[in-house]
Amino acid sequence: MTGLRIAVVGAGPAGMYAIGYLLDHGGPDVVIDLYERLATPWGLVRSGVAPDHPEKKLVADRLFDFSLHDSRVRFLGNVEIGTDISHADLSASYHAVIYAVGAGDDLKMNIPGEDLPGCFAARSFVAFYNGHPDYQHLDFDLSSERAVIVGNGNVALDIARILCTPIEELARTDITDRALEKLAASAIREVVVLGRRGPAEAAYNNPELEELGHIPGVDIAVGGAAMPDSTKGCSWETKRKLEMLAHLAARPANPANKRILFRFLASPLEVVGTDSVNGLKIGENALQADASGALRPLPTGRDEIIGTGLIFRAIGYRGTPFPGLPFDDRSGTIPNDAGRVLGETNTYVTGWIKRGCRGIIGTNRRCAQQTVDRLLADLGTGSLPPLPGAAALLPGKRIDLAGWKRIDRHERDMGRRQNRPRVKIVDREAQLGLAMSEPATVEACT
Amino acid sequence: MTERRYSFCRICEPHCPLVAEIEGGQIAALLPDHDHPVGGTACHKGLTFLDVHRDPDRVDWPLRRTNAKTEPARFERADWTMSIADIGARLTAIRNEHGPNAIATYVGNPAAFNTTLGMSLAHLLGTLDTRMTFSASTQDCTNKGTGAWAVYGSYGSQPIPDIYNTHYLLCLGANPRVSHWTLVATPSDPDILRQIKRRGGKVLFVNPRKIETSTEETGETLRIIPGTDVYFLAALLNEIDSRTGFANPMIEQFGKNLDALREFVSRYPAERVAPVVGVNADAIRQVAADIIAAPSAAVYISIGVNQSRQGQLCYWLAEMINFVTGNLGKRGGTSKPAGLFDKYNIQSLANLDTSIGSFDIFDPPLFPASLPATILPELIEAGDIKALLVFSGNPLLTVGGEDKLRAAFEKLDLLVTLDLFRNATGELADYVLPTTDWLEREDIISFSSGMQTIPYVQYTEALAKRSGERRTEAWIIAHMMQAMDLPPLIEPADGEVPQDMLLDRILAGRGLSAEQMKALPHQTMRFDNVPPESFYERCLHHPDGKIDCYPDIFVRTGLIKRCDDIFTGLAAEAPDSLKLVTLRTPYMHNSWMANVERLRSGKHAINPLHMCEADAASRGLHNGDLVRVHNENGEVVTRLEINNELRTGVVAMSHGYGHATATGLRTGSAKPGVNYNRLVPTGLDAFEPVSNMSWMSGLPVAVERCTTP
Repeated sequence: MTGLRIAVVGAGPAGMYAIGYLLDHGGPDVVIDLYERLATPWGLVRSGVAPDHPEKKLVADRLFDFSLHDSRVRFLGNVEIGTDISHADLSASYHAVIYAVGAGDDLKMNIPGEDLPGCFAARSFVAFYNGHPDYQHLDFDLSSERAVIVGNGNVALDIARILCTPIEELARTDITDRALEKLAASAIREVVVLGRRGPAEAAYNNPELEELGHIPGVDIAVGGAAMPDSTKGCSWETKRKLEMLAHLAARPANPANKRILFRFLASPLEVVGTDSVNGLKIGENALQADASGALRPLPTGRDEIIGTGLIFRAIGYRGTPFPGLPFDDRSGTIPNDAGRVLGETNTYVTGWIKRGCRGIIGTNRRCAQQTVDRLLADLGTGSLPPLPGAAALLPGKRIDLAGWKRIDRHERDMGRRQNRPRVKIVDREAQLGLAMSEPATVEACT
Repeated sequence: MTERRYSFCRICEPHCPLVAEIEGGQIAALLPDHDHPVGGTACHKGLTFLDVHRDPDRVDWPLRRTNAKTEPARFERADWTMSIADIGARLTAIRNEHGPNAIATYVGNPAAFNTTLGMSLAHLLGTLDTRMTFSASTQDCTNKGTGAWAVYGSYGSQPIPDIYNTHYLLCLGANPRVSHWTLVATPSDPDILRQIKRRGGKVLFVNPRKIETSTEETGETLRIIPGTDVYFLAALLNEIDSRTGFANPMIEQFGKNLDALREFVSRYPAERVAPVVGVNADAIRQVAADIIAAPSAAVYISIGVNQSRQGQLCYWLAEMINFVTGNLGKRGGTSKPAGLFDKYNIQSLANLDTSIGSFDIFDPPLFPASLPATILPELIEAGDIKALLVFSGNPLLTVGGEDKLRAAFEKLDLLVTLDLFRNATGELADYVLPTTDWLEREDIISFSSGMQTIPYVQYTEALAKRSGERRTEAWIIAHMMQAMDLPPLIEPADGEVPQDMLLDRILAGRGLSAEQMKALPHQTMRFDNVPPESFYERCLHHPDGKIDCYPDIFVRTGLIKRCDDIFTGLAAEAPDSLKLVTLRTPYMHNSWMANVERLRSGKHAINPLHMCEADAASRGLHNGDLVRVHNENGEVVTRLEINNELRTGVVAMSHGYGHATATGLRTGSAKPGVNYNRLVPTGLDAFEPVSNMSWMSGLPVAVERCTTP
């Protein structure tokens, strides 16, 4: 195939895997315009992966960055599709458009009091401490001695870990300075991690659980459910998780330590408080097998109130509708067939907005391959008619590769002085100012 | 219907056992053979070889060039009969006009894993009587063979460390976790090294980089300044001498020239070498003390040391440590295991006169290479070499000086490559002849014979049908020889050259045959090992039966003086100078791997320069920066990767990249990466005497940020 011209929307892992595969299979003269709403690429690798997990961010340096530097790829940062450029205009300008826009929302608990100050979405806190410019206005009150996290997946454990890790350890990471200040003044002594079901059904993975055991000065405790007597019949992974939890909980406790308390078989019923959160009412569950044999939590009717001033819901992310594209409200995805958006001719999706909010960074590789294979099959072989690209539609304040590299090098320079991997610029205007401090060296969309 | 067949990998020494799932005559899957009686688990390089086997860029029929070598290549499909006839006629004409030495050969590393190629080529060279033989081995390991010749009297007398039983392993310039050992064949199993520590022993790695093999469970890395191992080893010997003397009772019976050795190492006491090797004197002395104290110990050197300009002397000194401490020929020390055969050629030195000078060569000639690869372009330019036959090799990129080689290759009257692919060298060829890969031919484990920790032989059938008109090198060489009116190793019958008939000649040494092997479980036969002390009976081949502890050839060829001079130069170097070393990764092996798409993503597509944070910070460089790496030999532009496993002052890149011009490798040329060898010295002064080794590692370089590509 020759002459292929593609727009990819979103520079997170989903978009970057799609670009990597397109560069290998889209023909030697493929042109890919990468649109990113923010000034910075890498999506959740930059704003989602915990700051104390630098090894999980290596994929950006070792893989994505090489695609971004390919001469066939143009980075168009600070351009928002759906706002600056409509989907209709974009799709008319390229042979195909791939949306890799991720999930902009999260699942609600749908309980009374959920909107009280002090009750947050986990994603807000994660985006705050990771320097996402859209979340820097938030203020988290860490003056309560106890925080409660609803949900016990890996995001919940990330937050529990960040709340309990000694400040001097966090100060060696690329966590934002403002988050460091907040955490340095934190009064939190206990983090309760709430799960609807039992330890065998916990959503976290074993490495993330094991990591909690390595935080200095932190005890791990289990409440609400007895550890199962036997791990017989459990999967290999469940067995490891159960053994690890038992091991961590059996370590001698130290009253001077902070504590992470895993509270199982409990559902949130109501956020208690008048002007702000001062407790979470939880209801005890018992497990009962449903028709398919899966264990479901059923309320026993007993409830209690956990005193807290800070609640995070971490029960899942969720996609949001994209202007001009269909949306399946039930699954929170853009309906598609192997990546091709239903009812559209040259529009594709990949990543969470395609398959729902499941999987790790690497899961996006196969997901993107499927989408790109579909796209290439749809376009067939041979030469494609020339298309203009969206040069004429681009807003003035966009950031090219050189602009991003200025931000990147500046952050790394500052980090080097403080013996940290980088110090993130978190203010959008500051990012733009830095990126545009020299004229663009690469003219986009010629 | 899936059929399972046993085989083995042919990428590196362990020959890891494999099992292939065959469906409809094709290989559906290639898996580790966990039930093999000797063991070892194939790594992803071996398992990925299925991608090489299925690669659509493979050459399926003879390709003949239709335009001048100086132009972008145009090839057309040619017929085997015509191609062989034409090549045979042209070789004959060159030989008749210019003599046998006008025909040169270059052999790449895969030839070591292709028994019948080795046999046929040895026969061809012997019959042609050419001395112009080159190979990849002067890029990685000839110093060990020539060192064994100088010390023990035969190229084949190379002992290996007894890693299953040793109490102390000193491992220099090797990274077994990635390379799976070199010139040592042991089942690929990381636990073997862990067991040393578990049984109370110790492993110490000496390397400029904390290597992947070095973990809490194996042992630490002493991060040495590259290219200084010879002084480190000399200091160890000196320290051993001053602590206990050379205490091996065998010395009296077998040693000679001990005093000269003593005098040499006395020039390099720990205090004197410490600033040059970058390891403090106490640490050096501790290593010596540990070796002395260990109930058994083994010193092993490999590629990183071999390539660092003084590999010849390093091998000698490493062997000397093993000998004088009584660890040579001892359980847990080093020795020469049993093999398929136990034959030791006795070489003497002869002169080869060429128009660019006279060279020391061995008589009978060493196989597969007599001459340093680094003088190949000079010999072509001088008109000594008119034809070059390349056997699964890619000298254009493997040897230093790509531009010089390209200019020289363009002047050849005939360049023929026998390969799976039209690689970068093939792009300049008059003929590219398609060969079989190792899944398509019968073979036995032969290269590792005599270097296996667990001696055995395995036979494999061809697992897949040959596509197109691919032929074994044995077939091609036999037909080429017929076309030149030379007697082939075996006469083709009905045009065929049966592999088994050739393999039987090797197996016969053990009273075996291919037919017998096929009937054995996993087609595998284990051999009883020989006692380690039999080294002294079997492997000492100087006329006096002694171990030469100070071979005169090192003095005569100037190696000793060179060593002293280099020390003076290193001691005077600026403290902030950078040295470039080669970095082996599991993503690259030889040019056959260059076209595997799944090994060429992200950083593996470009061959970045690795540098530690401290060196990057002092130069204002960051991860991902575009950098220019240069020295007096050339320059490359690549990107920087921060790698804190490296010691300060050391940068690293991988070898074997740079297929930009190899249009026959679509992935390899789209993602060429930069060619390390552009930074390697070339020419008449660029090789180490005796070993003929190129200087590949520990090269002085400068690195700057590059703002425009």
